[in-house]
Amino acid sequence: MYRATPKRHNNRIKQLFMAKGLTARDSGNIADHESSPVAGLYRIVLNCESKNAGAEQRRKITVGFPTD
Amino acid sequence: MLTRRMGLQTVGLMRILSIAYGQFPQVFKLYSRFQPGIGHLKVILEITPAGGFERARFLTVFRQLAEFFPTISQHSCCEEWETAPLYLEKEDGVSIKRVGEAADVAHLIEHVIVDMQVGLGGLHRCSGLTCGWKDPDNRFDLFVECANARVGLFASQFAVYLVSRILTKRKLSARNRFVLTLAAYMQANPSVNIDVPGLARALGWKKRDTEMALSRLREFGFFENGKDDEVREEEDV
Repeated sequence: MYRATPKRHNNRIKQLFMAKGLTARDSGNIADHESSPVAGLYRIVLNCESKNAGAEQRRKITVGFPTD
Repeated sequence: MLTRRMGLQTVGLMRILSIAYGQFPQVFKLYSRFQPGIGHLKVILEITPAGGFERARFLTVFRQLAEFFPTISQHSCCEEWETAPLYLEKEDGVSIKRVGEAADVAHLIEHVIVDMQVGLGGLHRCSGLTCGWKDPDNRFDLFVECANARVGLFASQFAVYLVSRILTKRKLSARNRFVLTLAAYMQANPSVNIDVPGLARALGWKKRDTEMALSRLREFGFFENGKDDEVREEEDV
């Protein structure tokens, strides 16, 4: 019987820029990206969405929920 | 006051700590409409000081950005909260939230990055998150969908530069349009030679303006080497 094999992200984070004199630990444990958004790290999250489909341009933003 | 140093680590009131590109699966817990399979930029930004961003100052930034990026005026909010345009003409202001903190400035920067991702990065739709740290409270993680790491690197640094210039100089130079226009031209013509006389002829610009724009593109990472398809899924073996 065929069973779907779940895919796994080959999660290669590419560091594009790091300020001089900083380490990953200094700038928020960059190596541990996956845990940061759920670690109770944030006091506020503002989100938004942009849509550009042909002539129609629509922007949508979702704003402001505390993470506590 | 912080001043600008090499590589845009520090620009006026802003300091970019890092820019990374990859898959950050946990951000879907904060926003469910992120598109699966598309990588994200993660920009870690500090704004100093954390306060002093009262409504009038915020509007100064917003209005100038809206001139530079007209589609920002079409933004609307808010899913799960209420639906309203970002810009309310009758109030001559923004409705996204009660403004007055550094988070609002970080949020505008995220919008500029989103706008450039759509304009330059080949995305038809782009979502972003601005996450304010609890401690330090002037630090922000910006997650923005990104299909092209090189464009994302440029957009992030240019957005921070523009907002910082408005905050410190109160006026955005029209010359910055050359930078954006040249970026769009280079994206549309990827095989074009990067030489000032040729680009100046093609765009009908003075060499001085072309040189300036080219220099800015280099400074903001537009020509950084690197594959754009750094993030992909692979099956377990």
